[in-house]
Amino acid sequence: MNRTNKLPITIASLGLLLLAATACRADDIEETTNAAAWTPAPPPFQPFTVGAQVGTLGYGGGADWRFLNHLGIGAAFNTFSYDYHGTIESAPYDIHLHLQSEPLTINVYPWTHSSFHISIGALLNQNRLSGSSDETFTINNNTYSSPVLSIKQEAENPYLTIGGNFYFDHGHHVSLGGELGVVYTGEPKVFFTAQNTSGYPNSQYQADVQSELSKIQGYANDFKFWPVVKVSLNVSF
Amino acid sequence: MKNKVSVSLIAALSAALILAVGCASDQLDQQVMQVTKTSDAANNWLRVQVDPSLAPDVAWQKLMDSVTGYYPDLEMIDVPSGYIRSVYTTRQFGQPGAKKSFQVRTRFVCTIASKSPLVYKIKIESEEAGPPYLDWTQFNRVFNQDQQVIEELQSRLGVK
Repeated sequence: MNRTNKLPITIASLGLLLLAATACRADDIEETTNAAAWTPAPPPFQPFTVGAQVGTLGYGGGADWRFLNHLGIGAAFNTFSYDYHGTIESAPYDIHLHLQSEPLTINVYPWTHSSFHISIGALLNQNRLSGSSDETFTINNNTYSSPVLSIKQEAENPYLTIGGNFYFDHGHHVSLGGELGVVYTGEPKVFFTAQNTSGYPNSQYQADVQSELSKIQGYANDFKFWPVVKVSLNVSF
Repeated sequence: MKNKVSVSLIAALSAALILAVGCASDQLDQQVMQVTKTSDAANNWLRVQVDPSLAPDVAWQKLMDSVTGYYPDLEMIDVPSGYIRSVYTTRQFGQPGAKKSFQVRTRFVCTIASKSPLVYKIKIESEEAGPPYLDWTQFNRVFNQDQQVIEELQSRLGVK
């Protein structure tokens, strides 16, 4: 788990450097262009941007509207599904992971001539993980069967990222974008149940369910801070 | 053109918000629906007329084979009367002891209703209770596995 958590941080750090370089590069290009007197100066930015994106929230699309030199709003939709067989804490499951979220942001652009921005907003979060199986397993050396599990993150989360675009053309119409940040997903809701088919006393069954619930809650808490790393291909107009 | 785009953006934001609010529903209820089913055998005797081509001892063997496949622990078996009762299978929903939590328990019961023609009657007793899980009342759904065993018995024993 620790190794898994460190990977996004490393990627995020590398991405941050890349992003800063990209934003600087965009400014450099602009200065070079302005130096050529016979070329019409490009607009500092295009107000509307739409794009396709992929990243740690899934894949999807997004739109931004930069209505002032230093201010804009943005929205996106990301989704991703994945099925696999795995073990979470004590029990085996056929797991279905479904990521779906919609970031809604206010974008602050510190520099008029740069696409670099800081995005603050909310993530409407429908991420969930569910699993079930017909297998038997043990909790505290007691055998139970048919575990069912679901984990849901909180529905609205604070969202903070930085981002920028690298423009391929003089008119700032086509770009490769990047975004880095974090979402605080709050206290996850965990549901777990298993069948007591062995006739254990109810008190023991409850204690075992409680023990397993606590372990799963701990597992889910590892994802409270969800890294945001996105790459997008954008069209601006 | 730009006005249209901004209207579209606002509409998209509103739709996403409505979608998120609309999807919020009680997780426990969803989970109960996921692991239980309605069944004709829920707290009701369901009669299964055994295929006349099956000898009574063969029918009993098939019955035991199916039942023990789903219920490893049987509380009572009486061969002459064809009576079988499994121990309760219990599922906890929600955190044990929490106010909104509850348990559902079911058990399989079967007996011979008629020897000629051979008819078994089968029932899944299904009950629910909130904390402290002592006051059990009838519940009109059974676990998915309970319904599976009913369907399997109808298929293996019943008149085709």
